[in-house]
Amino acid sequence: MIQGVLVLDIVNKLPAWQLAILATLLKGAVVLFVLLTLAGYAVYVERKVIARLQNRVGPNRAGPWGLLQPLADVLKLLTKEESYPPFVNKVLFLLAPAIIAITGLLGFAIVPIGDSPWLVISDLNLGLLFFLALSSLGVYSIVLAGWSSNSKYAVLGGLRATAQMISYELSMALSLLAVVLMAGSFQLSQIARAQSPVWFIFLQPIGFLVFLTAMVAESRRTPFDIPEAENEIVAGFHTEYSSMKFALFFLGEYMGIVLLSFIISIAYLGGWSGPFVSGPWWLFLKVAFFVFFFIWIRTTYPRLRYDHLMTLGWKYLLPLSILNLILTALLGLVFPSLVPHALR
Amino acid sequence: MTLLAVIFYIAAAVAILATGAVLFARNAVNAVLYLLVSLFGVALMMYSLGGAFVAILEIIVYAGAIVVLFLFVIMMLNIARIEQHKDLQPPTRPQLLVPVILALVLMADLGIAIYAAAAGVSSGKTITVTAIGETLYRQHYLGVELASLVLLIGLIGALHLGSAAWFTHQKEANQDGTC
Amino acid sequence: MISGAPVTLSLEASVLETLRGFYALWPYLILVAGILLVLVVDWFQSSAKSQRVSWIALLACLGSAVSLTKLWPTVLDRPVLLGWNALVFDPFSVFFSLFFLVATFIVITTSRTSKELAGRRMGEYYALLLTATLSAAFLAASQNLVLLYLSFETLSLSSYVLAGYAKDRREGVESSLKYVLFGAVASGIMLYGLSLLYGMVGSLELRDVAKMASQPSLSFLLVMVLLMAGFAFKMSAVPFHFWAPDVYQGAPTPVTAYLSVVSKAAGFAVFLRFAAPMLGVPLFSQAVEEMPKELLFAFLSLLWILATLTMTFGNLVALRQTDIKRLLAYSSIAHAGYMLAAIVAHNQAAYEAVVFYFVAYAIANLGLFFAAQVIHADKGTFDIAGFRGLVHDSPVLAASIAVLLWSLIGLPPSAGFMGKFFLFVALVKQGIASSIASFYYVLVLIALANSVISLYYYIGIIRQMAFYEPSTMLPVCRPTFTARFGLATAAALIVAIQLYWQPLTDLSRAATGSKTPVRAVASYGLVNSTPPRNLAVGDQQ
Repeated sequence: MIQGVLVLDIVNKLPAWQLAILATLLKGAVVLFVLLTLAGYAVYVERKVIARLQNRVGPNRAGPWGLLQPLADVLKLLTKEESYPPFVNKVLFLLAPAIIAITGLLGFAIVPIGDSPWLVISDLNLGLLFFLALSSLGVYSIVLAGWSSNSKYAVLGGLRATAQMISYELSMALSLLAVVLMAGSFQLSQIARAQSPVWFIFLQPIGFLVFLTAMVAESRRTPFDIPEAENEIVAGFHTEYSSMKFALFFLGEYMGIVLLSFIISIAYLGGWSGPFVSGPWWLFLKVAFFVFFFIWIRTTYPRLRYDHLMTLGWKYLLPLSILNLILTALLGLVFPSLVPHALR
Repeated sequence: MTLLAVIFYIAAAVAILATGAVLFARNAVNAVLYLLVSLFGVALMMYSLGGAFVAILEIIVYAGAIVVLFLFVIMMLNIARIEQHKDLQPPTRPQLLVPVILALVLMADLGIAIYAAAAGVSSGKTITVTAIGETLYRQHYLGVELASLVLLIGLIGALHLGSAAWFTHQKEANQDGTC
Repeated sequence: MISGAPVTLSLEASVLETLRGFYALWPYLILVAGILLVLVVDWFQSSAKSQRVSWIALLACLGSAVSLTKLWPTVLDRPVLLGWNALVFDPFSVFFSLFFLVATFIVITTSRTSKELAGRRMGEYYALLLTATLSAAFLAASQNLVLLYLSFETLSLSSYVLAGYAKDRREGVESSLKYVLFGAVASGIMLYGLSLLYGMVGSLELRDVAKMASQPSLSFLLVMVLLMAGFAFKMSAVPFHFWAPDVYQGAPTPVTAYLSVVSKAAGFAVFLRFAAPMLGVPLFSQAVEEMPKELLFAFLSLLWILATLTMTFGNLVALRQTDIKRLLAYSSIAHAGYMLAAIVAHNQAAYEAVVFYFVAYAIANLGLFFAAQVIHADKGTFDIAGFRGLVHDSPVLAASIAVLLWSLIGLPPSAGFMGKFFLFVALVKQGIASSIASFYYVLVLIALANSVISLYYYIGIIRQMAFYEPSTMLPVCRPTFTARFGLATAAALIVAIQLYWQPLTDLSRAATGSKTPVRAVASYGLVNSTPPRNLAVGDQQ
């Protein structure tokens, strides 16, 4: 009790800028804890859902309904031997999983979960661009992993992943740009607020579909999982990885899924707004749906062939997203009432 | 000298050193990493001048796309040939030391920038996205149009020089085109 | 109107100005339409009939040229500024645009019959050619550093690809690669100079740059040296000439002709425009800003050395060449040297002379490269041996080539003679007016000596054609009627200009602005006679 008062006292004496940094750090710590748990349970949910869809039971040994399975997985990965294959380039080999985990986690810094400055770590003016920059830097992780592993499968996986992510990032960014055009801001909270009467999914159906497709490709999940196609190239770029470094890749992947679900919910589905009482719960519900969606299509669709993937990205999605952008701009010019938030 | 000027000069120094190191790096992957550090330095310079938008575009376009393509090309080179060429092999640990140090300096610089932002030391002028758009599309519209022509020509030229007809005399080159 | 303080316009007037601007842009829009149309139409053509799209390219050139001639009286009256002073359409830029279009028209017609390009897809080729022309025209019209660099880069990029267009020919690809590497370095240096310049001036507009020049600073000289790298690369002047022989030899012949005329002229045009206000030559829209004497002299000395090196090097190395395209490459380097020498004179007469010279040079070079292409088509070689005894194969062809070569030497009666004559007159004029007369006179002497050196290798070709029997190893050259007709026309033009040069001198005078009643032009010509400026050097902080 006395200690608590002491802490408050110290906090009160701090200058404003130190307080701001402290608050940000605290929010970051909370988000980090929640996310790491969430990522673990995303794996659990995935295994359970897939099992259900395939008429199996899924993990059910550790704890009631297998609920402790993520904990068991993490413990297993942590206690495994930290090994480097003899032929790898150690520095880059270690750097690669770190990059993907860092970019995945940093992305959440700009995600607002409610209509309050307390419900977001840092509501950047250029939030959407920050997200795009992080996702484009995430590619380095895969390139370096593939390269530094010094193995055939890893290099092939790295090459495929790089080509795929660069191709789909374009359509993703362009479809988001139409949203920015309508909202008149790159700030995620502004974008969410701009959808107060009508969600952008109704005004931007093409953009939504393009983003949805590009999103799945960006996270390298089935049916776009050719970078790690296990029956061709073992496990792609993380073939040589094990123990905690492998866990970081895993973490990065699930972080990516959750982050992309947040972004699509905020950019197209009105964020925290919903019927009855708006609030963070609506956002979580939407995110949960998209996480489920990721798992759902994983069990439904077969893997695309490499050339089909490139054709889809460059010949269909990219022109479609550009068309969508032009249409949005034109409609905005002709019917200004459609885009009340756009800058003029 | 204001704090932002300090940030600017540190970032500029890192950018220049890293760019110089690109020229002298013996190893291709190493050179690319130096280039990456240099681009981040330039981005931080832009930020310290108030151009956050330009800074982030610098990262998205250059660091996120163009340099990745450089790495991509290095990876695409024939693996068998890489083993013979010393300058194409992955860099060793001492070789990575300098880019890491440069990157750390840059991170410290970023730390100062964060402090400056939190403490409210601003440059007094932030260049908004709207202002950039106005300048580009109103004042320099001819330049933008001409730039689009440059890109079109680049595309046509690359298409022409890179099209498959190049390999008509060596048939097997056409067959293992995919990866 | 354009120089001096910004004038605020009423609404109607500003709308009118904008309309005038787009009227001036019209010829260039036709070219853009041509580029896109060529690409799209080529898509629907089979490879064998790909050559058809050249009609579109020709039509675009023609349409653009016609609308430019309609624009001519308008801009003679008053120059048109477009896009916040980004482009200026004055007689200078319109003249050069027309010049580029005519040259491109000729290059397209020669491309249609080229054996080196036969059997390829030609859509990209013509699109690239038209783009290069468009950017060359913009380069001559650019009034803003951004536009200047962008059009420079567009011209370079399309030239790189054009040089390596026949991509299965080893030498073509090699030359293209050399061109790219060299061009990248040159334009990089130039860009560095431009960014320094922007940092110093704080404005992208050329007229503000000119104002900067009136303050003495060593860094400005450094900037000029850096920029010269880019300009000299396009002019193929020493020491940025290394690409020229290889590229001229390796590129398909029509492309070589194009590079030697349009690309080089674009380099000169932009340099003339850029340097005009600093050299004290009022080129329409630009106010004359007198450079401080020391700085001006340093800059002139730089040009002097560049000119001397360029022409001497070009001529000396040309002596040993056995490949006609390589020989013409060195010859074109030497001609760049002559024109640079004229710029040293930095007066109106020099500008006129350069424009005049370029017309004479273009006719001769386009003709000679076409002749080389015709001979190559039949004999399969670019070696000078292919010219041996040509007079027995086709007297018309041989005679025309002789006249064109004669013009390049600069002997009467030919357009080349008049060109050289005007160059020397400009230099001598400046020498008489200047206190350092020998500075100019020595340059004239060097240029004269160089002309004598060049006599040897040009005459060598004429000798081969006239006084030797044709080689029995090579097939007989049988040029088509069109080829003979075209070359004979070129030769006739060369002679005609010597006999009646008035229209061309009038044109070059109009193109460089002596006819336009711009107030600031009152005392053009001699830097010494411009009124002293109020500001002494020390007044500027």
